Amino acid sequence: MYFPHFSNFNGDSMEKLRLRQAQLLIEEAGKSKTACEKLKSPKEGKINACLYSEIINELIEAEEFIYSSRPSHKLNEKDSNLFCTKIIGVRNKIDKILADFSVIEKESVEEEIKKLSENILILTTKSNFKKSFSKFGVDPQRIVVAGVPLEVEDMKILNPKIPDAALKGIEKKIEHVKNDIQRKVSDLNLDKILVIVETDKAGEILAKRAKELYNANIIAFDNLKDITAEEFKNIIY
Amino acid sequence: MECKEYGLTRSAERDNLNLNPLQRGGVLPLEAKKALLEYADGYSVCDYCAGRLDEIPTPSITGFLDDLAKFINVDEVRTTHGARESKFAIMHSLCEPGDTVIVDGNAHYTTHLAAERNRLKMIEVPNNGHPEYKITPEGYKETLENAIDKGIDVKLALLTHVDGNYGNLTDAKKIGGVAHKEGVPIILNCAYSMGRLPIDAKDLNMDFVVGSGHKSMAASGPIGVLGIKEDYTDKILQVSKRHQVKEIEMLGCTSRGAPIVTLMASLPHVAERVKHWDEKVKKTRNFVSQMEEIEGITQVGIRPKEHDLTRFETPVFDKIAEKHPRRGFFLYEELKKRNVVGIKRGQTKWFKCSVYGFSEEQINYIADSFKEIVEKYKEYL
Repeated sequence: MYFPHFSNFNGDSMEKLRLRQAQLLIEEAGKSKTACEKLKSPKEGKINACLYSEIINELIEAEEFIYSSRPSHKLNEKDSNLFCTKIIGVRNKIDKILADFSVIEKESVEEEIKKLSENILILTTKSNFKKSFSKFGVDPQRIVVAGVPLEVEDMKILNPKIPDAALKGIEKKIEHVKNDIQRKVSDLNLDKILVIVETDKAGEILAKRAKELYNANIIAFDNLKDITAEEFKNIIY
Repeated sequence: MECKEYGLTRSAERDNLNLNPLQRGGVLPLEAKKALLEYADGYSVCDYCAGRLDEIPTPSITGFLDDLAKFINVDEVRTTHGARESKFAIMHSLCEPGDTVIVDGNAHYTTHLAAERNRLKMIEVPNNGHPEYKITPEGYKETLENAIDKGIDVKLALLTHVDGNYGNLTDAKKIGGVAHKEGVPIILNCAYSMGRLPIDAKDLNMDFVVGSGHKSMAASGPIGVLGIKEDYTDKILQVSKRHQVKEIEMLGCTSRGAPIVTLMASLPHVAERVKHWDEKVKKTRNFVSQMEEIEGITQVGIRPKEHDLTRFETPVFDKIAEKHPRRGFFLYEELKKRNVVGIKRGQTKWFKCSVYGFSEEQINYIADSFKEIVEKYKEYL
């Protein structure tokens, strides 16, 4: 690539030259993107070293496709998918690093949560938890409130004095919750179930059953009301 | 000072299928590439060293050596700078200048150099010649017994498990038995086998096994393995009187940083791949049979192949070279055009190669490339 501005840089220090080179490269890259993705000049920032290391490792993983596809480097559809997913993952992480230097707009936490929760079904115990998660950015369709346990016998652990007649109604509700879970997983093409509950008896029982039935991942907090959007993002990341 | 351009970019592996047998077993798996970046700096493994490389707890070199000893079934193991250093250390510990060692006729040149550097005399067990070049237990027994009959005190024996010229796998177990019967300790040079195929030193009747991380254990070089039977650990791993934790034959510490961490990171991968050695041999045999479909190409060495390193005699390419304007370089250049490398430039009479680690599809592509070249120049034949 030819940089016409460099003819005026002869007397400048090497460092300035490199900085200008980087800026030009970023401007060049920005031109090839859509208007909303234009790159700005970097501001002061902090390198997320952990993310950087993840990028390198993911690129090394992607590199394996180069070796397995030698000498043509052509990939079939399945491998193309795997390869591109890796590269897109890297791109997203690079975007995060660039956002830390204001080169691109930082996504709002809510936007990030929305994206991160795209393939997840969240199972929780109370409606007000659902409200909080929705406020954080999770699509309400992707949240199921199980006001009851997932197996009728678990109700007896929660309330040993519950009359048998009342269990009939609970059984119906359980059936409804399970159907709801299955329908959403299938209709919304969700691949992961995450149980987010408080560390109480109801939460513990729901989590245990969900693990058994759906191989769900479990996250339990002492007090879900105190959780911030940023913390929530980190737990679903 | 202005440094020259050293040419430190290497796209050979990314773009091409490299048939050089030397290259095939040292290819790093994913885990090792990641570890390489983490530990690329010179003394990167030495943060928690208390004076002995083999006892470093973080990263767990000590744990790794335990696993490595189990992997090859030896009582004690050390890493060295390479198989040659391992051989040298054993000879240096057990022999005095002027002593005699017995080695097989297919031994690697570094076996000879290790003996020469130790000022040892060598007696060679000949191979059975063209076309097999095989080292037999009977031949080994005969040479050893003859030497003993002549009153020669043979101090040490060495057997090359798989040689680097023909890829012949020797009958280590029988030959180990032959040496032991005569009371001679024996080294098995596993540079081309440890990490490719299962090694059980005790089952193979070996007192020492030496291996090469960069040749067959998916590690960055230089790094070697020295496996020792309990009877010899005190002698080989003797410590310095002045620096009491330092082992003399290791000159204190051996390979650090990138070589050892890549060897460590690769061990699970290597331990898994040796379980599939039969499949690798099958692929090699398939490659040989495809190559031998070309008139004027013959595999030499033991048949059928028992190892991936393969030597072909190729008069067909030599004949083409006689008339080709590029002479002997034509083969290398035609292969390069097809992104196949690793056959030495100018070589047409014979060559060594290996398809270890390649997929069936890649192996077929390689064989087809050779066929295409012969077809292209058939008017020269």
